[in-house]
Amino acid sequence: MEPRFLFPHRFKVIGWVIAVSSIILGLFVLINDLRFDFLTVKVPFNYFFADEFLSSDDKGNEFSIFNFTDEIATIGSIVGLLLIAFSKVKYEDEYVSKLRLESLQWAVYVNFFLLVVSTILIHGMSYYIVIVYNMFTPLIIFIIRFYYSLLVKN
Amino acid sequence: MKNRIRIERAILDITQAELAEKIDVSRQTINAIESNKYVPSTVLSLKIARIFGKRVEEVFELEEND
Repeated sequence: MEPRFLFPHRFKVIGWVIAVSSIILGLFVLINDLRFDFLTVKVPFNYFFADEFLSSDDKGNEFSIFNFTDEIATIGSIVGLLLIAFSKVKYEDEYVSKLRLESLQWAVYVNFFLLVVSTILIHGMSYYIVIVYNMFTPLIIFIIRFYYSLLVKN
Repeated sequence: MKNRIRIERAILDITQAELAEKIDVSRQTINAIESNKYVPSTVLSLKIARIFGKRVEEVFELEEND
């Protein structure tokens, strides 16, 4: 039975490289407010979904100025983590498929449990950080759980 | 479901890894089946039985609560 919707095995290494570098970059963006100047781009229209509070540079102009450091970190983390999570393992078989599905369900439960706890405990602007981390935690929890059950528990 | 894979392996004197290679699955899968953590599909059961030169019923057996 050939598993569907999985990347070839070699994509896993590529995923690790992209994910680790993007997550490190992302943490620097979050904690140190890192911005690379060469990633500052002037786009020739007003971004409809950019509000004044988050980017005041482009108020009342016909153009918008954005720095794409955080966008690169976000997209890199998502793509990298997806490649790690959904590349075939060396011996892809029916038991591995079962473990993958179980781990995915487990990760969704744990992720939303953590989100509920954070919603109760964290309020105000700090909650924004919770949502930022929550973009990546389902995949991260899944990867940890899947490889733990595949490699450590067996 | 009970199985006699560990015993049949001992008769043939092959390791989990060697059996896994013969039927094109991971060693973890054989280990999970032997320790009753995973019930293999019909296809995989037939393949395993074929390696041992036995009928599926001689390798796998239903239990009371199945």
